[in-house]
Amino acid sequence: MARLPILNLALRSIGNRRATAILTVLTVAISVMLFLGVEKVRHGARESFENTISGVDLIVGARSSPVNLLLYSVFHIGDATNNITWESYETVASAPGVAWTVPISLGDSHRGHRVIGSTPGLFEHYEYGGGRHLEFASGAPFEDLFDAVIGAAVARDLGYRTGDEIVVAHGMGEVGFIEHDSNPFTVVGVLEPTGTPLDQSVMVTLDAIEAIHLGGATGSGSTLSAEELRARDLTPDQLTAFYVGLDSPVAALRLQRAINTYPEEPLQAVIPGVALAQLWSIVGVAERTLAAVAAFVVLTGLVSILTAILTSLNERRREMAILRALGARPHHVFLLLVAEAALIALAGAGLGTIATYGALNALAPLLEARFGLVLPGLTPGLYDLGIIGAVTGAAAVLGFFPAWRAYRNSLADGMTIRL
Amino acid sequence: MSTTTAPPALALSNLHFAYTRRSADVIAIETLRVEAGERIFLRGPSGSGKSTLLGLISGILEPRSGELEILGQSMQTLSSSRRDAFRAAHLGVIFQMFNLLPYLPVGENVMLPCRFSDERAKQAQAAGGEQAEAKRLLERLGLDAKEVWSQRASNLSVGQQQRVAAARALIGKPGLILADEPTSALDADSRDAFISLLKEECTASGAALLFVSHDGGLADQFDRALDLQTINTASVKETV
Repeated sequence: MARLPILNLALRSIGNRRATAILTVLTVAISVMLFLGVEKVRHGARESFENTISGVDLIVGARSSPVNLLLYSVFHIGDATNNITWESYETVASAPGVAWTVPISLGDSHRGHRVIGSTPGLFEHYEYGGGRHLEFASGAPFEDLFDAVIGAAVARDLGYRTGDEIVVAHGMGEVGFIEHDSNPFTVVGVLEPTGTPLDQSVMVTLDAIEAIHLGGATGSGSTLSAEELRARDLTPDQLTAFYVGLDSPVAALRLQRAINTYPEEPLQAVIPGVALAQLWSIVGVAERTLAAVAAFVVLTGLVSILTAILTSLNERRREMAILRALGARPHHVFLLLVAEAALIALAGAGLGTIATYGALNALAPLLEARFGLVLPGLTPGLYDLGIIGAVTGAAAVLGFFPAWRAYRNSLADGMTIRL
Repeated sequence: MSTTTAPPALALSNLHFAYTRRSADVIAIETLRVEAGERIFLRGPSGSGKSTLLGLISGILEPRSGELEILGQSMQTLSSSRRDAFRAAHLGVIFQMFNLLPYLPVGENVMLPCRFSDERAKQAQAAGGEQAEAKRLLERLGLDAKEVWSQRASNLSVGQQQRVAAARALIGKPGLILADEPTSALDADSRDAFISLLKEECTASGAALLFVSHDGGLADQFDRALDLQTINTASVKETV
């Protein structure tokens, strides 16, 4: 039985039913494309999400829940339950092992976009996408009191460029009822897209936030001129939250406990990675549903192979009888059909993978520029080989069914050919 | 091996077969013998047990009792896989029609037995190589080997297909050729031409020929003629 040409026969036999085979291969290819595409975007989204903020060891805010703190301090969703005092901030900032801190003050907006009051340290220390620093598309970090830096999406949506003047409103919403219009800001920098909430933000100095509220937190803003304001001590009393960088990340847990048990004020410190993973476990349901749907589509593709082979079985009884007469054993008939199913699946999965990566490579620059979504790995890797292998293997297993029927037929028919 | 000492191509005695354990015999043959190189005509109208007998001889079916020897090899002593291997090596089979795999070109169809049996491949090698031997047989059977070699089998006429099937049955010098109504789809002229070519080539390669047909008129062209209805004494008639 040496040199048994089962594979060769399977290939030729598939070639003989080219139209059906091509359609089946396409079905599998499309299903694999969908699956891989969903997987890629899923991982990209997850990674992008979990890398929304990195390089920060702790986020400190008022005591609520870790997810809540993360939501308002990083994603700018919802509001802080409470502010924290400047004294607490200074205590933590001067604690041993703390390398840097970036204070965050939220509460104002510009035409629906959050305004973040912070220090230039934000641009230095904020990292995303696993160690990528913020970069400026134009301009530079804020220096002067009424300087503002805007995110890429803000610049795109509102058509702002460096040098434009903007007015900040109190609270959130498209239309601010109280506008701090006596103290307009000047856009001095526009950030590159990051895929983080910073794209949607307007960043100003912490002092400016204090300055525009001097007239009272709910007032119409300060009426003092910029010069007069500069002369004042604009150290704020309160903060929304702050980011902490440590000399050594090992100290994070110890400092976290110290902050959480800080006696002067109910504070809470979260490790961003942990809180992000927690948050993802909530929003990740949609992502897993998508993956499950994609997996079922692949199953549909596999079943279409089964259908194609099963419908061909009766017309192929003669072929099997000829093979039997030539000395093929029943298990060769079995193998022939399994090989056909596997080959179709292999071709489909291979084609699907190539098409997926072709499309991803074509779309990647767009995705990154528009959404800051950086897709991990734009060349097929072990994972994709694994998928191709799994699809081929699954098809082979499904192929057992028609193969078994053909096997039974060939045992029953022998060399007798029934027309 | 000289012809005098060669074992018979086919020797069966007291052969009984039924499709299920309890059903009555479909085949009951006291004796049937085909000498090596002999060309036998076996008349068998439908229902005479023809297909079943061919299944038994080719080792796909197992007899209920009796002795069945092909080329001196007792088939009962072989496992089903050994019987498959034996069939691949020593039997050439020609069916009534549609003998060829439609998706293989003619040349590959002819060489197919060499893929399933090392012995056939070796014999073909010894005869000058698989391709050369396949082409020689095609030519001998009256086909233009060059012209048909790469054609799809389905492009050939029925008569041409039967010749290709004969070439495939003969490649690698099997000891016994089973032909099951190979000419029933042919017109009278090409039928006689086919039979004489087949006989010639069987003689040339030393193969015995068991030619089964319902058409008793062909009997004259063979060394000896038998009637399956006479030798098969089973009461139940084959329904296939």
